[in-house]
Amino acid sequence: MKPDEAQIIIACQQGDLTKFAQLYDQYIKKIYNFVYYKTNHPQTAEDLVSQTFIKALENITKFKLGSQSSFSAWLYRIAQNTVIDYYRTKKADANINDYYDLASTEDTQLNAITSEQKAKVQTYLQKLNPEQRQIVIMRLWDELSYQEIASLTQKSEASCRMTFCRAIGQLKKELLIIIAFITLLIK
Amino acid sequence: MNDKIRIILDDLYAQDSSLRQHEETLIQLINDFLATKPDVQIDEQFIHQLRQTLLAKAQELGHPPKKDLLTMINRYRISNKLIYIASGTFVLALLVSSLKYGGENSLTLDQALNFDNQLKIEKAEHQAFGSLATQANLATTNYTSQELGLASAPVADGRGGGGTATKVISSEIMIEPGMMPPIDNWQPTEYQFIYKGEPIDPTDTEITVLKRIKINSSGSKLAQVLNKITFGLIEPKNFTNTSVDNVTISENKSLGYSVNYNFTEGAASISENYPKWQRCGGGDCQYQPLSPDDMLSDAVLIKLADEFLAQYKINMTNYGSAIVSKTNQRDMPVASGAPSEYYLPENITLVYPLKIDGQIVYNENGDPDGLQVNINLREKKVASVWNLNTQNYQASSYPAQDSAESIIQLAEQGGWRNYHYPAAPESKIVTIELGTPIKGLVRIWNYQGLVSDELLVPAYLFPITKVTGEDYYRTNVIVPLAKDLLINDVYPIPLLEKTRSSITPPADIQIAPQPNQ
Repeated sequence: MKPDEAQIIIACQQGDLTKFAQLYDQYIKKIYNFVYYKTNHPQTAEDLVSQTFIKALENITKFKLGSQSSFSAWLYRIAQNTVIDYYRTKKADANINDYYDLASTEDTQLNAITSEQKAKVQTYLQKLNPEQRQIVIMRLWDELSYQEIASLTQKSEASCRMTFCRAIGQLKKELLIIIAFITLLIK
Repeated sequence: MNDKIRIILDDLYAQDSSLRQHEETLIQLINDFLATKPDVQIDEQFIHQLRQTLLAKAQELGHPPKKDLLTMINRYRISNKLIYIASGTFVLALLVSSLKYGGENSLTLDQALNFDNQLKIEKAEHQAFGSLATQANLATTNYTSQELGLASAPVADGRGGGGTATKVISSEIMIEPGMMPPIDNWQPTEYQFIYKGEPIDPTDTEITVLKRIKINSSGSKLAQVLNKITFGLIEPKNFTNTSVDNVTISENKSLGYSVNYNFTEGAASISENYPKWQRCGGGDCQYQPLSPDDMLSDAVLIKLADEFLAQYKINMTNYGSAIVSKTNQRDMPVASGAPSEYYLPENITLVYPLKIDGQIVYNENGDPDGLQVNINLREKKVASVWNLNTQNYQASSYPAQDSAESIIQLAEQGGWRNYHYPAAPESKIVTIELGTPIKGLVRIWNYQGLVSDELLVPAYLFPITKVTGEDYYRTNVIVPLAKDLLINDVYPIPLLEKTRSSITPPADIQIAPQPNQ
């Protein structure tokens, strides 16, 4: 954790909650992206991000400085739980870990991603199981560290590294097959 | 290959070194992945609004330790310097380096002064504030035209007053001799307002007018505390029935602030402690003009202001989100202009519109009115905060203007107190189109002898949707809905009887007699 960030958290925990605005400035875009990738819907993402930061503000005194979990991991965890709660409420029988499949149903009708981009993303992601998919997105799109991913998935860092490696290895194989197929066609 | 991909690859190779032989494929894969990362467009307005919400929540949740008044005063290292009387107002500025107690130690004010901006509205009887018409009240006195000009100047903070004598004051017969020098080659302008909006249906026969109650017991409570302090030169306790009108507290440090509490106006403000903001002390040191690079984006300006207000725990419950005022940037040339010709103001003003029961308050020009913050571009720091007022009101019902035709007719004359004159033959015509109005509150000043009432009157705001001919400085045209206000709408300057008589008022609106008639 950055020293400044620790100072801000201490100030918040001592009652100067207006300092929370500095944490907000630092994380708003990252958290918004994180939530958006799981919902693909701007209004839903805004609602969930608002809930995330309000929960964080209300509970910042409970965050333990110096614990293994960083503040960012703690914040992402709140965001993730908020998304899970949202899907639980919305689709009781859905597999809540499989955000991408869920998001790709109704909400995406309103999203800003073009269908061409989306098809390309889905081609990759659909090759992966939900756990792999989640970790690949966190690592490549959210640019989270393995420590943050571990905290969010409640797995060890080593396990997260391995899962990511296997996922990329699997996609590599798929890609090599496609390349080989295209090469054959050209010949 | 960029660093990001390199790190990812190194991580992968640490797990499985055999992947290294497929590096080219992996790079392609990761590149594809990064390229298909959704381009998330986050709404800046959402970011700002959520920030405001969190700051309000933070203020609600935070519990800073209470401090008694003397502790608070001592914190500011007050020194006994200044007692002065200005404009009939007893102004007490405390700049004391040490305080001597008058003997009693129990000087705490646990209940504080209640000098806050929490909204409180109490109901008063029908038409409790008398006539609402500003200038009509002056008609009963014997002011000269020059005095009237002064009397119509803004009080305290520059809001309201005076009437919007716009560019339309146009021909040679409009101005009394000596008031304005002749201008060569000046072409007068006539503004023609045309309503293009939907039909309106003003059904209310009565409206609620609010009058701000400025004075509370804060000044006399504070005087009781000061009576217990031995000052030295003059002892306040030797005077009777005292009340503190004005207190200024200054930070004795570089870029420090002065805080002013005006208990008679029910207002507090923050400003630069001016000597502490001077980079040049004279001699060879000269200020360099600001360059276009010194300008800050609206988002940065708003962030600076929001943080400042949160830092000083200013209650923003009654205010909307900040609007960056473009008024003092209006004459700024484009950035491509030569640096020597480029003018950038030192300060940019932001307005946090006051909201009463969900309705935005506007000034007489039709701009949102409320708490104002100046950002100093040279220091990139908040320089001042003003228009932070107590929000105690009385509410009284008044007859409403319920004729749609009359309201639109007045809008097409440029709205209330838009005193314009008939076009001269050589006038340039500027056409201004008005859209469907929204409802809001307009802050007006009702002069009662030497004091002025601050009133919030329901009004229609007609948005200016199109201007043909040249720029126009306003964005809304205002028509207050208080019948009394419209009936007694008179000209601010008692001149030009023949010109005035040539204007056709709306059908059911009479123009009141001029002063001294």
